[in-house]
Amino acid sequence: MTSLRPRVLVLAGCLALAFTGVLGRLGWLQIVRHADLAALAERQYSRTVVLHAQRGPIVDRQGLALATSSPAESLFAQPRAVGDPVRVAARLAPLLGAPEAEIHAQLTSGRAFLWLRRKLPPSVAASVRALREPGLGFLPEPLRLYPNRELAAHVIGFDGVDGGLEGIERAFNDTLSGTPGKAVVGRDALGREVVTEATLQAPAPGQGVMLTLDRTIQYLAEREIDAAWRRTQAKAAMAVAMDPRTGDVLAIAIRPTFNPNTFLDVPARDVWRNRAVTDPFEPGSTFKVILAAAALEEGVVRPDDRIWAENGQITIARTTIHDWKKYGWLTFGEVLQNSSNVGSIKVGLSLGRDRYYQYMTAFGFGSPTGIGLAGESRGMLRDPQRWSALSLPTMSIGQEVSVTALQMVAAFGAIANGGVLMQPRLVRSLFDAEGRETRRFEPRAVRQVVSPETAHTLTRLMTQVVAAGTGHNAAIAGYEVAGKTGTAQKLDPVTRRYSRTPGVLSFVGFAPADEPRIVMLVMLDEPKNEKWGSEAAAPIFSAIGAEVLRYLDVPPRDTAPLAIVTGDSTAGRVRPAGATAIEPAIAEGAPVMPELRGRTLRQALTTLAPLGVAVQLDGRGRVVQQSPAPGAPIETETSVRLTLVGAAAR
Amino acid sequence: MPRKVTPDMWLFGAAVMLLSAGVVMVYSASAIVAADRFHDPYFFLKKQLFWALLGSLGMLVAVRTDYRKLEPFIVPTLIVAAALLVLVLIPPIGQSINGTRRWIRLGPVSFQPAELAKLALVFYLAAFLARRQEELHDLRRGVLPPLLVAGAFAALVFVQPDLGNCLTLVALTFGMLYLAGAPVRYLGWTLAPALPLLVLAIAVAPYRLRRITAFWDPWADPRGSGFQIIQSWLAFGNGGLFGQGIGASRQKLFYLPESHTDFIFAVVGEELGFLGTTAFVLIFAVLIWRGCSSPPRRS
Repeated sequence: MTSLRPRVLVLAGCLALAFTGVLGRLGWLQIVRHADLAALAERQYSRTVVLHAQRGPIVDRQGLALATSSPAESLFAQPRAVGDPVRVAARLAPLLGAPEAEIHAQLTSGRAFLWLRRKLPPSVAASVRALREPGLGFLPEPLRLYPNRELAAHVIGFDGVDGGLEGIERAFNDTLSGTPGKAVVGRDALGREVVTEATLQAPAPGQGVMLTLDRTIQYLAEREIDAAWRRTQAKAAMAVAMDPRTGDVLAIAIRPTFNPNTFLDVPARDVWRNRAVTDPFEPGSTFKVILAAAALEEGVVRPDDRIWAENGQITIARTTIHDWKKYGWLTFGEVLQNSSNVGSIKVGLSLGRDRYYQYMTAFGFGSPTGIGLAGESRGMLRDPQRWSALSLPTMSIGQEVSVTALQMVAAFGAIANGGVLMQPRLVRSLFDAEGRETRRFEPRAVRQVVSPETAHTLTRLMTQVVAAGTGHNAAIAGYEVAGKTGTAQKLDPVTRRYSRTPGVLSFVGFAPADEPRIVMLVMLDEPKNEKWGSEAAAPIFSAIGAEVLRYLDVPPRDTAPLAIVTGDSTAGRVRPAGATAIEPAIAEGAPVMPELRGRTLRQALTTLAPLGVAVQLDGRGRVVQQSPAPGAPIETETSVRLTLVGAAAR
Repeated sequence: MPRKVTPDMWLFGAAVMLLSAGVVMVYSASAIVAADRFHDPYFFLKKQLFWALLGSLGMLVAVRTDYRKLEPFIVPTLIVAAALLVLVLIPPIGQSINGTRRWIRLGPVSFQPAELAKLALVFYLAAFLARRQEELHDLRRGVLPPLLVAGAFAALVFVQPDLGNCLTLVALTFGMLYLAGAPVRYLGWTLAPALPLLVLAIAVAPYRLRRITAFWDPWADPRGSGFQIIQSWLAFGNGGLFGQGIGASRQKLFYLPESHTDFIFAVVGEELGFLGTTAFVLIFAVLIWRGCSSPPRRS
C-alpha cells in the first residue's frame, strides 16, 4: 500500500492556504480599509434632509410687502421608532386635522422616513412637540404668505412645495429661493432609531424682488375692475397701467382672480393665467391709433386733410365694411374722433402694407415685450407676404391682428413718451437679506418709433377723441386725457370666423395728455350687459385714472371746455351773455327748468340765458342729462348741470 | 462493551467555544430582527439554545459510542436520505421558498434533506473506502460505486435547485477519494466531464453568474446584486481591529439581510473586530486540524 501521507499534506496545504486567504481578506477589510468603509457605513445610517432656504420677499415699488415668508416647521416621522402607532395617530389626528386612519397607515408603512405634514404653523408644531412622542421630528421650512390675498395675484404668482409655479415667483424662482442647506437625521447605535438633528450646511436665504407695481395703484385698479367685472358679468376684465416715461408697469388687475395663499382652491386653473401677457385679443378700433401714427409719420395724411367717408360703407375684395353712421367728408382728426372705419381704411390703403407692417412691428406688435414672465404671447401679426387682399383694410381697423394688453399699453406709451417705445419693466431691483440692493434694472428705451412731432400731433387728436368723440366717458375732471375706444368681435379659434358673441371692449389712453404720467388699457372680455366700448371700458379708465392721478399728486389743470364752477367764487362762473331770448323759458309764476335734452349746447345755453343760472357742463354735443329735472322750480342762484354727448359719439 | 475513551480536548474545546460563541452571536445579531418580526427578541436565541442542547446531547452519545457500531445503520441512513431528497421535490412536502424546494417542514421544525445527505454520504464513503482500500485501483469495484451514489445525491440536490450544496457533495466525495488513495487519473477523468455541466448550470440560470460577478465587483450594482456583499464589507470595515463591542453592530439593523444566519460572520466582524474574526477562524482551523487527525486508537 502506498503511503497516503503526501496526499494528507497536499490537502492540509490547500486548507492552510484557504485559511490564510480568509485571514488576509479580513485584515484587508478590517484594518486597511477600516476608515473608508466605516465612513461609508456612517453615511448610510443617517439620512440627509434638504433644508429649504428662507424665500426672499416680493415688494412693490415703495417696498411694501406683496409676498413674504414666515417660519414654519415640517413634521416628519420615522415609523420604526414610533412606539405605538395607534396611540400616536389618535393624538396627532386632531392637531393635524387629518383622519386618524390615514396617519396610522403612514406610521405603519414600514418606511424609514416620511413627511407627515409640510409647513406647519409654529403653534401647531409646538403642540405636536409637546406630545413628546419618539419617532417624530421637525425640520424648519418657511411658509409663503401673500398678505394682500388676491392683490396682484397674477403678477406675483405663487410658490408650490418645490418652487415658484406662476408669475414672478416662477420667473425669479432662482433668485428668490436661495441656496438650500442640509441636515442629518440619524439613528443611534443601540437599535432604537432616535432622531438626531444636525445641521450640516445652513441654508442661504433668497434675495428679494422689488417690483415696479405700486400697491395703491394696483388696489385702485383692482377695485374698479372687480366692480365692472361683476356689474357687466364679463368673462374677464383687466386693467394694465404703466408709466410711459420708464415703462414701469404700475398695475395689472385681472378678473377672475384667485388667492395665492390657497392657489389650489380655484374652479379652473386658467384663473392663474396672467391674461395681460398670455392672452392675445383683436384690438379693434384702438388699433386705428397705430395706423394713425404710421400715416402721420409717413406724411400720408395730415390732421386736417379731408377724407370722403363714402356715406358709411366701402367695398373691398367683394366685402363691404360699414361705419356705424353715414359720414360724408371728415377731417382725419374726425375720422379718429368718430372712429370711422371707412376713413381709416382709406388711410391704410394709402399707407400701404409694407409701411404699415413696418410700423406695427416697430411698435412692438408680433414680438414679446420681454417682460420676463412665463408664457408671454407674441400676439399674431402675419408677414405681409401672407396677407390677403382684405388684410390691409381689416388691419387698418384693428382686425386680423391680435395683441396682448401689455403690447397695447407699451405702444400707446410710446406715443405718450414722445415716440420712444419703452420696454415694459416689472422688476426694479433685487436686494439681499439685509436689504442691500444687489441688482438694478434700468428703464430701457427700445426705439424711436415715430418723431416727437408726430407723437404730439397724434396726442392732440386723441385728446379730441376724449373731449368730443367716442371716448368722452374716459374724461377725467381736471385733466386732459388722450385715448381711443375699441370694440372687437372675437375670432372663433375653431371656425376662424368672427363669432357673433359680444367681443372685447376696450379703452386705451394716457393722462395728462401734455405730460403723461400713466398709460392704461382697460378691457372687458365678453361683457353681457354692455355693448359699446365707450360705454363700458371708458368710464372705468376715468374712474381709475382720476384716483391714480390724485394719488400721484399730478396737479390738475382746468381744461374742460366751458366748465362753469359754482360756489363762492364767481370768477369761474360764465354766463351766456349776449344771448338773445329766443324762447323765454319763463312760465307763469316761478321759473321752472326747461326741457333741454336733445338740444345742442348752443340751443341749451340760449334757452338758459334769461334765467340767470350758473351752468356746469360735462362733455360736448347734445344734452343727454340735466339737473334739475325739467319742470323743477329754479332760482337765480341755482346751478344747472348738463351732461352732453357728442353727436358723433358712439 | 463500551470502553472508556479520553476525548480529544482540543477538539472538544474548539467545539464548545464555537457553540457558546455562536449562541451569543446569534442572539446579538437576531434580537432586533426577532423583535421586529416576531415581537420577541429571544425568538432566535431560544431556537439556537434548543439546537445547541440537542447537539450537545448528540455529542455525549457520540463520545460514548464506538463509531464502528454505526456501520449497519449506514445503508438505511443512505436510503432514508435519498428518499427525503426525492420527497422534498414533491410540492406539498417540499416547501417552495423563492422558487426552490429545499426545506421539509414538520410542525415547528424544518430541515434540509441535503444536510442529512451530506452526513450520510460522509459515513458511507468513510466505511466504504476503509473497507475497500485495497480495491481502489480498480475503477469498477473501488471508485465507481461511491461516485455513483454521490452523483445521484448531487443530481437530486442540483434539481432543487441548490448548486451550493451540490458542489459541497461533489467536493467532499472527491476529497475523501483522494485522501483514501484513489488514483488521481480516475478522479481527473470523472471530474473533467463535470466541468462543462457546471458551466451549463451557470449559463441556464443567469442569477448564478450575477452572484459571482457581484462577489467580484459589488460596486457594479450597489443597490441590486451587490447590495448584500457591500453591506457585509461595511460591517467588517466598521469593526476595525477591536470591533464596535458586542451588541453594538449597526449593520445588523436591517442593512444586513439574514444577519443572524447567512451574514452572522459579518456581525462578528463588526462587533468583535479583526481580533474576533481571527479567533473564530483559528478555532475553525483547530476543529479541522483535530478532526483530520487520527482518532484515538482503539485496541
